[in-house]
Amino acid sequence: MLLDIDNLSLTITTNGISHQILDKVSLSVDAGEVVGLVGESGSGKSTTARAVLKLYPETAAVGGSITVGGTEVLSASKDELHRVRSSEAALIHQDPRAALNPVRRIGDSLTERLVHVLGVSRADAAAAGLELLAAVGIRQPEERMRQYPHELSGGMLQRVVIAAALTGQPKLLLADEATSALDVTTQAEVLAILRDLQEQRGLGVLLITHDLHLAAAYCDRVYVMYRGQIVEELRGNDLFHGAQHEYTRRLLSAVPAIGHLPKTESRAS
Amino acid sequence: MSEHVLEVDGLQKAFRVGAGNVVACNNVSFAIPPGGSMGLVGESGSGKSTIARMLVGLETPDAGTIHVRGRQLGTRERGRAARLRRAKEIQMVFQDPYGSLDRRLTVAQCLDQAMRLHGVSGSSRIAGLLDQVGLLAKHGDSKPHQLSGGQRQRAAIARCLAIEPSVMVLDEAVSALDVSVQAQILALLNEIRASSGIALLFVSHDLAVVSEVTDDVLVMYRGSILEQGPTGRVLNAPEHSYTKLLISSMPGPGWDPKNVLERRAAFLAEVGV
Repeated sequence: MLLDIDNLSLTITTNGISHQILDKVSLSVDAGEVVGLVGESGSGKSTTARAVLKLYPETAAVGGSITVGGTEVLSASKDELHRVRSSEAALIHQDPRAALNPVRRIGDSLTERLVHVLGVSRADAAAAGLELLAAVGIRQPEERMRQYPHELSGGMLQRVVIAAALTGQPKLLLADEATSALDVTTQAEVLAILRDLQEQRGLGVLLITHDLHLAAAYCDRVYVMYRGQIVEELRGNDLFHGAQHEYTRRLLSAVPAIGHLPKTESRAS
Repeated sequence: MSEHVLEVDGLQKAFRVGAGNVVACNNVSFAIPPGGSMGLVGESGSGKSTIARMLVGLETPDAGTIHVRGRQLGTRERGRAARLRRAKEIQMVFQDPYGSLDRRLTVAQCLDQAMRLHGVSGSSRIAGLLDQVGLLAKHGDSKPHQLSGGQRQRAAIARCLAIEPSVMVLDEAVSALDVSVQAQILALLNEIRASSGIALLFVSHDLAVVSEVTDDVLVMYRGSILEQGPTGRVLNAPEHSYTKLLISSMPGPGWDPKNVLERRAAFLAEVGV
């Protein structure tokens, strides 16, 4: 297994009150596999993804284990953790404008990891950067390298962020609502590129999304999260028809679709 | 006069970008009857938000007219009284209620302030307004940060209702919400327009959401309306190739991003890009 999360629990205590964010979460992603993680805001999806890179507050109490490519992350030494973060797994966020420094050129942001973390020369890093921009379907990559984030559209920037995530040649991509802010047509374009890259490189992808239709259509397997727990695991194709858990069914019934009205009370619950 | 609450005729707007002009809105006309709901769909940059912003007076049209209940809105309101009069006719709900609610005011204070600003009587209406949008009386004493995303959007809708506008413009108002909360807010909007006769203009990139709260829909691309008609007809039997592209782009059973790219390339070739 490329990613193996076993019985992960995470509790954060603020002002003497404990909040259990994750409760015995277990999931796995194999190489070459696209796995969805769905659920509502606050269910713990992002916390799970961030924990894979050991990105959580130092005050958090964490139990269980996370293995990325054979390395136990939670007990990893500083050097091991550095290696996991720089070349094993990469995290892509929803908002590319927040991920890129607005006053630095695209080329600098793109090659930063290669030059400053992996010690590649600037010329080699620039060449690798150009190649990656072409790989994510950006035309005139030389020109884009010299531009600033505000000069590019959201779809273009998200492709830059994906390219930047690939610079360390990771084996695992953690995509946290990476296409949620894009138009449906642009989303399709970015996902087609991601699928190609994923197949060529045998990447494992953990796709976090609130879009259940997307999870069903794009993922091999889907985990459903609710209040810090994985309540159900399904094959992507079975998500809409094979759900057993009551929460999953309730969630699915709220999904709007053309030509069907959800049976929901307008009152807040 | 007219039986329509909102009538937009020949609306035109171009923005100067660099050396050239980008036409964000090209000869757009539509009308909404009392209690009616119009969807406005299209991708980023299609001009949806520009239309919404022109309706509420945040942008000035280059040409065209906007009538609310038969009265023409000025293109550039001068003075506080004129601006308030316009705001009372058309209210807007934004995507991010956290950004549009004053974080120092409780919900009740916010409603009270909106009503006093517009000279609408009644702190006595606050309880009724909270109930109308499905908030509890205790939520009146909460500040925005103490509410959930769905509750905040309810508060923003209550603020609109407080001043009894003729038209409500909702710009991606449910896009940031979870599906179950989204479904509640959509049901609430349907309830409001049935009971109050307020006309809704519902701007969204999400066709499925639009299909649940609108009677008619406008499909926009690069400032122009490419297709319009009853929502059910447009979404179930689209005529324009762009509408077909949008519908096929929505993830669903059998969806393949590669097919979407082919359709998009075909459409772009058709419009000559």
